[in-house]
Amino acid sequence: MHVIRETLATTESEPRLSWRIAQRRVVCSGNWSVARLAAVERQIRRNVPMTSGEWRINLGEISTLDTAGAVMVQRLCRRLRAAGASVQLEGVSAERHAVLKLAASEMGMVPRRPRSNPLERLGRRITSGCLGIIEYLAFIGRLTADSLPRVLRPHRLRWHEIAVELERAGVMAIPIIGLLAFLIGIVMAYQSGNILENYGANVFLVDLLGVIILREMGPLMTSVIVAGRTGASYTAQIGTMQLTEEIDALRAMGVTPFEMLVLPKFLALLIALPLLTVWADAMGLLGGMLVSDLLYGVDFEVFLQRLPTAVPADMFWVGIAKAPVFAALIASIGCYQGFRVRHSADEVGRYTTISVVQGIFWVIVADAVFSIVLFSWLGL
Amino acid sequence: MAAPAIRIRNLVTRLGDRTVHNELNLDIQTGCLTAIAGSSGSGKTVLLRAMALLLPPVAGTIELFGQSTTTLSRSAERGLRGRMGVMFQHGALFTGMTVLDNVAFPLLEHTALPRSAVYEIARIKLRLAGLAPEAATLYPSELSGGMTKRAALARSLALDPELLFLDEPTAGLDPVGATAFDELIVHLRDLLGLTVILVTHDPVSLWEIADEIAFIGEGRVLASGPARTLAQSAEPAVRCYFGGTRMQRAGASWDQE
Repeated sequence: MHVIRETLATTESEPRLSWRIAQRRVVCSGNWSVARLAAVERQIRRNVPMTSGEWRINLGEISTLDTAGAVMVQRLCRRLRAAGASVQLEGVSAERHAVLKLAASEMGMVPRRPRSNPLERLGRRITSGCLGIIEYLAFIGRLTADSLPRVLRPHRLRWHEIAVELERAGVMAIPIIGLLAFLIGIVMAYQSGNILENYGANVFLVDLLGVIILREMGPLMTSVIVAGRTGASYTAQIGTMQLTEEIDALRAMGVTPFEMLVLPKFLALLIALPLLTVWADAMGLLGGMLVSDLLYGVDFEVFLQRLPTAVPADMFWVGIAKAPVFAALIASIGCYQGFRVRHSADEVGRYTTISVVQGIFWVIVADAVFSIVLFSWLGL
Repeated sequence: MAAPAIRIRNLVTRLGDRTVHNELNLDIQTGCLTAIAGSSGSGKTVLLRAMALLLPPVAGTIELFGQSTTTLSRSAERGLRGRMGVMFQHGALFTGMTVLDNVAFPLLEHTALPRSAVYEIARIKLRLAGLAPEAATLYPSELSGGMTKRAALARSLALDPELLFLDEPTAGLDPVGATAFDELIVHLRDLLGLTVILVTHDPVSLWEIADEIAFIGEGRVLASGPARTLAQSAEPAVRCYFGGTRMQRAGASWDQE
């Protein structure tokens, strides 16, 4: 066995190149191992003289020479040859010969991955963007085809999985959604109360808060939080399962991942989001009520008495009716992005981000559509 | 005799509540190709992880190159990690990088060399591991099982380590590929003067390439020595392991040679 390394004491010396230009010699000494080579590499790059004739490189004083060191020796040879000299190595022991030979026989240039030009990249982005919508629709189609038979026969649904997802997406989101809705209720009451007070119209706080929280803020805030919490976790979970071939394992067992993974998540969110919206509505109104009472003299009794007359029940139902639509958008986008992960851990991060951004984006778009359709066409 | 590259004294490790190793002692000699054998669940990989400073022991000491690892400063630990390479069982290649970038990564992290030199060294490592140049620009998801092993080996060799840890290097390879990989390991050991520690179940690897085998069972080293010695061990667990038909056949073919 050839052991190139020697005792620890000698490995402490720095690698060095000594130029004896008159004699056309270079003496290499010290420890030529990978961690110490940066200085030598700089010397090789900068200090090689323009020369000709026969140069000799002495390696006899090198204490340690690893493959990186051998590469450096070969780089030195190449530089000298490029400068016009011929090079001979001396002081090469038998065991170092093999390593030096290996470094000299560097494999041919690695073929480069073809680089695309900017125009091509732009084209690809646009087509993949357009195809993305088609792919998403195809995903919805497959999801429907796989799950419809189950949904029509509810005893064949995976109730256990649905319950688990319901707990994760719904029950565990209660504290954060409650707290945020409460704070938003406080902020809105505080800001709008300030203005209404100028007109002595404090009591209209009830109307304002009722409409905004029940109709818009409740469902919208809840959906945004759920998209960030649950939509992201759906993508990350399914994406990681893609990488570890768990999805393929399910397919191989004849279980479609849609029915096993997506449908329970979808149904669970469909149930959880309206319920969370009710909770957010309640907490938001509580926050608003607190501020109205403390700062604007609209006490709890007045507030609660006025609320049913000031805000028609329709407002509440419109808010609640939006929630399942938002839930469907968040769940389907979250799962779809998860299935797009193919090769790398990078993609899990990338598609999780996309899932959250698109989830929130489409929720807001859907909300705008609701406002237009319900308000101007149906007059609700 | 030179000081051992690794000296383990009274090592205790736990995973959760389960004690994996109990008062384990083991010396690994410099330049030696040591195999860690034992039945499944005996803690071979855990021992490898402990030696590679990936799992802090509950009690006992592990000395690498005569340096105790229980109280290491951050810089000393970084220095030690530069002197060892780990090849994980499933490759653990970074999925977002090409094979060449995977091999270049530790070099870029640990050295101040310019990229051109780093990539030249990385290409040598790929060659050393027996990968074709075409494989360099592939992503890990595009590699076959054998290529993944070789790419992982190339990455573990990136920093010219003195210690090389291999976790089941031949698992999942076809017989021809496994033999080639065994030969590659011996070749690299001789060429680069490595101390190799490999965890393996492969009877052929145990018989043909291991200088020493440490047989782990009941949380300690039950027996150690070359395969020949272990096959005649008095310890029932060891005899049972080496008495299995697959092990016997590998031993018989080794005897014929």
